[in-house]
Amino acid sequence: MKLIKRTKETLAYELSESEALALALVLRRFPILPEDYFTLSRTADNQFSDEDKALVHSELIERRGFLLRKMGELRNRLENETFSSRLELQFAEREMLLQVLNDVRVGCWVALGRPESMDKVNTEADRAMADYRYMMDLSGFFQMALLESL
Amino acid sequence: MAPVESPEIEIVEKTEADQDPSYLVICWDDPVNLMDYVTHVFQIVFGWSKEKAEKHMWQVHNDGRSVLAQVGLERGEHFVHQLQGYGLQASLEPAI
Repeated sequence: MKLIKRTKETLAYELSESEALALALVLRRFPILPEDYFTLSRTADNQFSDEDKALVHSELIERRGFLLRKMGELRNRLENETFSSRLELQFAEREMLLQVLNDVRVGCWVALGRPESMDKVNTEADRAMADYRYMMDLSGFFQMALLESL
Repeated sequence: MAPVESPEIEIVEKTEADQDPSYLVICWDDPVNLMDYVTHVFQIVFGWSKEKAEKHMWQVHNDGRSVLAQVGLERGEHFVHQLQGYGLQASLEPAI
C-alpha cells in the first residue's frame, strides 16, 4: 500500500489485490474493542457524575456507529469486483480508517489478554489467539502505511 | 537515547463555558499503540507541532503518562472523548 497521489483534499493509494483483501478483512473485525475498555477517570471516577460518564460513553458509542457505516462503505469498495487497486481517501476518511485500524489492533491485544510483550503470547496452540495476533499485525501494517504517507 | 525534555503542559485558553481549569487530561502508556500513531493523534486532537507531540509521546512512553492539558470539565471531557475515540488510554483527573 503506497501513496501515489496527493491533492488538497484527497490521498490516492495503490494496493495490491492481496492488500485490498487483507484490509477488507481487518475492517470486517471492527468494532472489536470492548465498550467498557475506557473510563473517564483513573483516580477519581467517583468525582464525576453518572451523567458525565454516560455522556462520554454514549459519544463513543455514537462515534463507533458512524465509523461502522463509513467503513462498511469502504469495505464494499475494496471487495467490489471492479476495484482497480487504487484507493482514494479524503483526509477525513483517512483519519476514520486510522481510528478503525487502531480499534482492531487494540481490541485484538485486549482479546490476547493485554500482554506486556508479544513474545510471551503463545499462538501456536490456539487458532483464535493466532488469529488475533495476525489481525494485530495486519492492522499495524496498514496504520504505518497511512502514517508514513502523511 | 538522548534525554527528552519534559514537555510543557498545555493550559488552553479559557472560554465562558470553561472558566475553571481544574482538570488534567492525561494520556497513559500501554504496550500496544504505535508511537507514530500516538504522535499523530496528539497533533490532530490538540493541533500541536510534530515536535511538541513527540515530546509528549516520549513522556508517555518513558514515564508511563503525560499531562496533555489543564482545562475545565467540559473541555476536558471533549479531549478525553477525542483521545479515546482514537483508542488511546486517556483520562480526566482533578488537578488538586
